[in-house]
Amino acid sequence: MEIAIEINGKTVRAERGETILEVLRRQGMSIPTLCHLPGLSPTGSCRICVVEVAGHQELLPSCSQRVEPGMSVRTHTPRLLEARKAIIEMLLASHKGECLHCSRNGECELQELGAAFQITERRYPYTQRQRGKDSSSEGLVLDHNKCILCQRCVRTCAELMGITALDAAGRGTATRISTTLDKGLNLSDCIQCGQCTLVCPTGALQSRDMVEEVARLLSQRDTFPVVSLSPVCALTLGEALGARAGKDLSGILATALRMIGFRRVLDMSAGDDLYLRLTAEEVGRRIQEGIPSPLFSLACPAWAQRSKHPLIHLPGDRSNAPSPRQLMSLLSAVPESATFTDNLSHIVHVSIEPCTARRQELLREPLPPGRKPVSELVMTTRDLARLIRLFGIDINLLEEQAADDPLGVHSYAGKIMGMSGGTAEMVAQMVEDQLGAQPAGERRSARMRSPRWWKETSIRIGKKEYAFIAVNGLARLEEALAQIARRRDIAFVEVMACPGGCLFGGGHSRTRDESTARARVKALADAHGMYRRATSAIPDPLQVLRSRLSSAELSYLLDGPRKEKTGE
Amino acid sequence: MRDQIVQILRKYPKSAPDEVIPMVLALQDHFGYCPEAALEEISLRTGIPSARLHGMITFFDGLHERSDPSPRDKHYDCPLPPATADPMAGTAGPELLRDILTGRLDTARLFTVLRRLRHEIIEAPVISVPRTTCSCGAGAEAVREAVARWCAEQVHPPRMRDTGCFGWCSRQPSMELQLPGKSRLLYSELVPEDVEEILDSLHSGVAASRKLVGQLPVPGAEDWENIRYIPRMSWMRPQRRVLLGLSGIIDPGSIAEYIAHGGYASFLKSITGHPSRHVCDLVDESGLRGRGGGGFPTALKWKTALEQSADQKYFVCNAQESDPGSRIASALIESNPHQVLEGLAIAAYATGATRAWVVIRDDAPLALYRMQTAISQASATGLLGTNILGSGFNLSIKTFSIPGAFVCGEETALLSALEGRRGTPRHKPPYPASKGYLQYPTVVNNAETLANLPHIIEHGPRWFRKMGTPESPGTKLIELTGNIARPGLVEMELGSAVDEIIRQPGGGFLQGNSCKGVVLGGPLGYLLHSRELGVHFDHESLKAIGASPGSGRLMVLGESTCMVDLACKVMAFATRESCGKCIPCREGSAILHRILEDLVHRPENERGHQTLERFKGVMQMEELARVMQDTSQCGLGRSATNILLDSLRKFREEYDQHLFERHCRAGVCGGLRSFHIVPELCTGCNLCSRRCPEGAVSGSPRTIHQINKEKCTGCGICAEVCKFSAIRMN
Repeated sequence: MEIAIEINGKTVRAERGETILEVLRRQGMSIPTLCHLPGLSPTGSCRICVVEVAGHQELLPSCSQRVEPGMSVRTHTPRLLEARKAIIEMLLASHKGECLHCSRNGECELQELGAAFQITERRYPYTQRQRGKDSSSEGLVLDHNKCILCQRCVRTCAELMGITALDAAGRGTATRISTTLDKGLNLSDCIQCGQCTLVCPTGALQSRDMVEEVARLLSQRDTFPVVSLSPVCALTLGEALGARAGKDLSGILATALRMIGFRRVLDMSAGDDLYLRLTAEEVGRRIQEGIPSPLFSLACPAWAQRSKHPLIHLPGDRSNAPSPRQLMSLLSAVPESATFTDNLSHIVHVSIEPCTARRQELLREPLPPGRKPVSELVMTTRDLARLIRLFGIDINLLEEQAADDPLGVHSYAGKIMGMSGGTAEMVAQMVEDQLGAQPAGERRSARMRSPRWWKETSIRIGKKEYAFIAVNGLARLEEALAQIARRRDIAFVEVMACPGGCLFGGGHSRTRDESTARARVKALADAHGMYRRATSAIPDPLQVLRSRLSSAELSYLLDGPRKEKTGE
Repeated sequence: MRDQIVQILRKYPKSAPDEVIPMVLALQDHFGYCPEAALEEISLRTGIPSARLHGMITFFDGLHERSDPSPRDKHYDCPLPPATADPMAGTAGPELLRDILTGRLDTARLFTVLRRLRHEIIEAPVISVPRTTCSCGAGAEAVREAVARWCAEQVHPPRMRDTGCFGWCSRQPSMELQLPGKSRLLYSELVPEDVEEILDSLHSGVAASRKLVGQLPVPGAEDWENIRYIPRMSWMRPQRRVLLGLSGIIDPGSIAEYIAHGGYASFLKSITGHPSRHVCDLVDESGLRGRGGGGFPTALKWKTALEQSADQKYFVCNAQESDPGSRIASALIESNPHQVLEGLAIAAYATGATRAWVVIRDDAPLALYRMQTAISQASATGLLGTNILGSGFNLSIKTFSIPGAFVCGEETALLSALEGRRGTPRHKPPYPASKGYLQYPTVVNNAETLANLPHIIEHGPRWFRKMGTPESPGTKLIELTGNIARPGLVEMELGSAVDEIIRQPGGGFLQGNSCKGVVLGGPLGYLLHSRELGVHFDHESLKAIGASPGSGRLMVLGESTCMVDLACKVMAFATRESCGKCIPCREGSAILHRILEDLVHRPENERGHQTLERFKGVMQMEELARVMQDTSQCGLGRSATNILLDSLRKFREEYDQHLFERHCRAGVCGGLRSFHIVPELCTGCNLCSRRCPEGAVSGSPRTIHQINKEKCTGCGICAEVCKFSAIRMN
């Protein structure tokens, strides 16, 4: 229902149930906010978005106060400007204000607010609280000294991800963001999805920065640095480097990464192809053997971590396939052809991922001995942007180059897998081909690429239908697992921790506006068009591998991890 | 350990949200803290993530997630009465009580039964020693033991009985003596040695006159000659004792006595004679306003809840005082729990709630015990439960103890705690009356507000409106403390002048001392200058001078109070008790505390920029306090600066003295005090030198000592220990 309210003396239409802030933003008016995040429940805790409402003595937070008919709101009176400024100054009175020594320097919301309000001196006595820093986990770093307790991370973790690894603990000035019993993030329920690093307004929650380490490795003389670039990162990197949002930079990145010093630049699509092939074979085999329970994909490392939580009961089996990154790691040591001359015995494999959780894999499932890199590193898209800036490369001046391809040619599946539903769609299609079922056609793609949290498609073999499920975002995981447990027709389940999939992973640049999100999705759709190579149209990656690897290596690759995993 | 945990948690099969904090408390009783395994077990049972449980546990002072909890301020705990298995032990049978309530006894029999239950007819002498927190703190337990010893020696021992308290705190410990056919005698300020002398007078039939306060007439009994009547004394006479009418008269552990004095008749009248709507209207007409401090019209809240269509509604009696030092709600419950319980039952009926809690501070164990006993007695009598006395109304009531977090006096914070979450307030609207406990309509009313209801239903709204002022009708419980001759709990009509209250029943300022000002309502209340004491104690009059009645505690400040120190202590309190959610309250109170600390302490070897910082801080203080008031989320942050702003306005010169002259007129601020030794009086005993914690007094034995001003922190220990008064404050 539409109602009329008055904002700064002007009558404005508003929907009943809207908050004042929503109305203001729709009117093109901005009020500073700190704790507010669209999509998450408002807490009204930062009090920066306060407005004056006629009839109320105190100032009201526009993020929480809903509009009422006839309400008269003032947004920028001297009293309000003074209050907002004072609140920011209060925060700064205990904030570790070492902006020049902070990785968020220049892209910090607190800094921006400070600048907007022209805070040029400390009016209040400065007492820095010594809180320490949690760098126990592989993926994330939580610096309590920079935390302003907006609780965006807490709400993201609980409401968006359904994990609640973090909550506020203590009271008053002793309040802090903490895990259960103040343990390190590595021992907590945290799955390191990194969604919190996307919403943290300051440098309190960050993904671990790998740029210096990569730079150091690149300079070592006796190493052979190989990089695998996730196709999704190539789509979002432009946002950080000032290119058009959604521009596919894979070709330019191949050039840039070679300039930086990588000896081989691989497209991670190869690993994705191989992963799909292995998974499809496993699903096909299970269907033929008549195993009724579904197979759960564990390609998403955050989900793989969550799946082991005592509260989670998996109504099916865990996939045995190594993750695409692990496969890339093995492929990095595979010569491109029989005539390949480089010495591959000192490989350092760096993979660039949209993900902060991937690094856990290095700890959890180390590669067994054999032909493999001497060292492995995982970088995020944000790290890559910084690396490129650090090396002073202007991407606008670069020519596109093709990536090295250990398998000769790759499909577009790697890009599709970047979006939730992609893996299930591709596996369904491959199993369909494999078992000679009736092709489902275009409608499947439309459905599986739609922005829903639960998507499913099915294949028909004889009279029986087999469902392939894709779930993204863990907020409704419990509901999804209960639904899966009730059904008997599910063959395969893909779970992606981040809502929307890797395209919105925790390692990308922190852009929150909707247009960027749309640009990312569109870029992915465009990329399908560009590649036009379905998984069925490329040579079987397993065949290719067989021609290049010794049988022992191949058997390790395909069987080794499998044996290890069934032991769980 | 796991087995023990499972065993303990067996008591909570439903694992409902309101059982989360009780679960942790039960585990703590056993382990001393909530072990990690227990945290995981609760998480598994309730589905609450363990990080959230940890966040909740660390929020409350009284919950511990580690085995080495930092010690908490221990309050004096009153010894509880001996436990009995049957809640009705010592009262009358439930059938009899039901017959009284439903009018099934014939008049003659009813008359005698009631007189007996009211202790108007007794066969043997009855001795009662009040069992309340304030009397126990004054040493009532020792007096009780002395009485018990005396009784044990008698051939025909008199009956001993628990009673509540008149509220006359300065007179504790006291004892009441009743002989058959005679009115009651009240003795006060007793020590155990007095007991024998007084009780021996029982044999002679002549009242012992030492420590005698006066007599309380008993209907139908003979009065003592030449003994003052307590109701006519200057402590009692100015009061209008409605809520306190039975405090000190009845045994708070007996439902029979309450019923015999007309108790639960109003509740019965409501559920059998009036629709809920009608009860709301009656209360609306009475003009009853919330007694927690806000003064919100009670019926308005109720009607909001009544109008909601929901399959479950809740009611909460908030006895978690809105003022940390105040004990008004717990005193009310300690002396007459059934009155609050009956009020709660009426209110629940009026709003359509069928489940209710009485939320009591964890540092009031006696009130909690009294309320628990009252609830089981009411249930046993059939006044709680399903289809109460055939009316079709269901109501179950539980107690809930908040383990130490002052902010939970705020209604939304209280509901968060009830739901097993961190006790942080949330934005209103939606108000709890439409979306409260688990999003169901929930009305939260102060205990004192509820205690008014039985009287309003009994006597009608017009009677109620005759008391107090047109806008603030009724009475208010006022706790008199500080520099006052007769501290205690009194009940006055709203609209009484503050200076009148201080004069009678307060007895004026403590002798030899004058009054600087009065704090209304504790640390979050207001500061009145001594010039403003003519103001009337009601919402409108106080609002006109920028104050409010608050909780009802009235603290008289003597000349020895330093206003800067007072403001500093208030800020320390706010810093400690802020929930930490919103920035202005969390950061603002800490900054203000730091600024004030700088004022009351003399920084040693201060550098130039520190002096500058102190001046700068003071310049910002007022604006900062105003922003806190304007923008904080709940009443805690909004009111935390009241006293600071009031003192800045009314006692500015004290701030200036602290800032410019580095001098504290009241001699309170340790940092600003300095001492010197009078050479003529110093004997060189060396005691001060040995006791000085800073090593600031130098001098060898039998020589005149000296104080090193660089080291002295002004604690004043030296002056206290000096036996020759040789150490004087400058």
